[in-house]
Amino acid sequence: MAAADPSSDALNDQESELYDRQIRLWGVQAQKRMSSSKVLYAGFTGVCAEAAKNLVLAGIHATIQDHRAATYADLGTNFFLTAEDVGKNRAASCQARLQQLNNLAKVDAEERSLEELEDAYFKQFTCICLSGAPLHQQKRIDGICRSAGVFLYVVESFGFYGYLMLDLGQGFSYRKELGENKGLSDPIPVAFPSIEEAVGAPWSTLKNRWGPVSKVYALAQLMLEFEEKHGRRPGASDGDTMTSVAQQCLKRNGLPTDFIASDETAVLCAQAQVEINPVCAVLGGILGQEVIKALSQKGTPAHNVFLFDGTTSEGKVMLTPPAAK
Amino acid sequence: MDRLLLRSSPFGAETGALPIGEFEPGEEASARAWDALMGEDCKILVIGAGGLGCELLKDLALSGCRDITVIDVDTIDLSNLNRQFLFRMKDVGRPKAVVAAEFIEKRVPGCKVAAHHAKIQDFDGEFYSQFSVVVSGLDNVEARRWMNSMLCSLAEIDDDGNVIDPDTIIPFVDGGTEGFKGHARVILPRHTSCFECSLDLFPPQRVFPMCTIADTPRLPEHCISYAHLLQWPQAFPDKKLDKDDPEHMKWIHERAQERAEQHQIPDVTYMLTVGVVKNVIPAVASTNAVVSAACALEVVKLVTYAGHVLNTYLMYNGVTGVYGSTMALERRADCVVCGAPRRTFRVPAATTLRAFIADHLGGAALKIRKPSVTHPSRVLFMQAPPALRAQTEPNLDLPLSELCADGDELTVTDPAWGQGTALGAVIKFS
Repeated sequence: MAAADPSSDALNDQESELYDRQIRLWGVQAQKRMSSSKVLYAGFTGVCAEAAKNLVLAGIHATIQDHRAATYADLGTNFFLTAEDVGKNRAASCQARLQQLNNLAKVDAEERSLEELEDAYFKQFTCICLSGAPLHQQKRIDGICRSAGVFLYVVESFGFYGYLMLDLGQGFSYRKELGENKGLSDPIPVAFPSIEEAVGAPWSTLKNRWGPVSKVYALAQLMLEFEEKHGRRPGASDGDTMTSVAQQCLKRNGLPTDFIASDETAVLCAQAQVEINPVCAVLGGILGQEVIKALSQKGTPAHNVFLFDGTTSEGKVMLTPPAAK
Repeated sequence: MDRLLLRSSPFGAETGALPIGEFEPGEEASARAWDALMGEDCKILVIGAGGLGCELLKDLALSGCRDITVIDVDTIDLSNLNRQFLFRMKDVGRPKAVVAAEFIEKRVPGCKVAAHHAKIQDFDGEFYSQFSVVVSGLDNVEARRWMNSMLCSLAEIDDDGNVIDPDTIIPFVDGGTEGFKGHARVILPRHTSCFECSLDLFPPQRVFPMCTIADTPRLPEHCISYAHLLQWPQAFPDKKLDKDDPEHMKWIHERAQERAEQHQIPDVTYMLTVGVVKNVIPAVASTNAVVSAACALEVVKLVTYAGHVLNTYLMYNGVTGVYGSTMALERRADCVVCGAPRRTFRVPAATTLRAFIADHLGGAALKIRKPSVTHPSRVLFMQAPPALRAQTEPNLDLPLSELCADGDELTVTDPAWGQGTALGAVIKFS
């Protein structure tokens, strides 16, 4: 099936019919931009699988990357895997079923690991959704993205919690709808800090008038910090190690050591490697929506972190480093 | 899922503000919760197999539910495929519920999905009382109202309105989306705000005043409505407009364009024409994913008690970059469906039945549009069937004083409430 022809003004008949309901939302121009965009899903976790579903349905080309083999646990969160795929490469196993969702959006699979992929590889994409990667890889890929104008979304789903950090670059701008039939605003610039700058901001500076930094943010950072030190995400038996990681982190970040209690770090350990489907679906939906906004250049992007707490169904956007006063 | 339920909850043994149950973490609880989701007693009803329904079925099946029933009255259309991902090109024309059930059963072995290509009104209280939780992804207010009334009526209460048997409370999780916006909410019949309590939340449907359409059009929509509502019936008095017939829609589009040109109104496109005539609601996968997942999360928590349940309403707006606020909707003490099925009306004795129906039953207060009224001794007015309607129609012009005595209680029913709810209207002459 032919993809959208970016040089023509209209969509072909098939696209107009299939995309009718969404074109009514964002218009033909935005659809053409989307139909000629490519997203890399680096680390095909449950949450990336959900985001990929949403965006491939909308017509955006996809490359799914993962060097890992599918496990039984994946079957509970990744709709594109079946029992026969356990033990086989995760990306390769999902490619055909993801492609079935929409023949107009091309879906490729990449089995090499992030370490094996050279810098130039990442520059071919319009945006990258990165999940399950250690913090040093996040920073590396962010550096590449910033230099090449590629949008980066770091997304993690762990237990009942969800974490999304965006870097759309220094020079990003967007337009807002001005109300019924009044059209769009002029471009509004919004600069995004790098991943390094964002995670480097001391947590004590991330309070606002309603309270201290969100615990979900702190827990996500603790999880990544543990991984940097120990080469893997924490598991249920790492309670004591995690407590000492937490104490060091809290101290370094200017927060009291009882900000995170030891039963909370125990919860984190139990949940860090667990994804549950409804949380992946919420986060994957939010991520899909963020990508759509960025590609269509319409709508306020989350700036720059979105946090989801599945125990209360609350979501929250925060900015790190905090805005200059 | 196991590891999730084994953790100790930071909330201890509570489950938040809504009285669902207690959760004690540990292996035994994990096994119990697991059984709760996957066991025979857990029967989930999903209403709608469209944008929200497909997502809901996927989320619930992957989360471990083994016994799901799905009801949907529609068949699959090409324009559904940009988000209703259980369907493929080859399925166009087939019933949504059936195709969705087939897909899920194939993809998640062990999960049974019973499909009904039917309206929710085709089933009775006995049918609905078998379910542990009802979750809906409907596309209209009327159906939600009906379902709400049905579930509230199933909760067994005593004369004081207190719940006798908590097992008869069936939680109702409701999701809705439109474009980039959506909501998710939890209704515990007889405990929380029910759907009827919050009818005021919904803005009136977007209808254009006839005078604007006929005399002073300003928007392309006015021109289209003119062609649809006035010109077509005039030109084709014997032919009903077929909204799916491209020839008919082309005619409407051309007439609308002519009128727009006369009034210098731009942008009457064919796409807009179809959208206005068919009342098309724009839709995209990501919004549906968020709202249905929020609903599925609540279902999981309701069944396993594994976390605070949403209390009670969540709003999502994908345009502004903000996830949304959660707020607790208040139950209304005078809600006909879940609180006070009896109301007193003070009216002049000479008020006709017609005026009583129009002023006190329709309108902003109760928002019912096709009420039927009976007196303990006889039927006063029935909307249907036609024979009974014809027989009772003359009563509409009689004063209430001729139809009942001061202090009598009339029973009012309406299709919006279905069989579940009836209003006791006590008439006092002023």
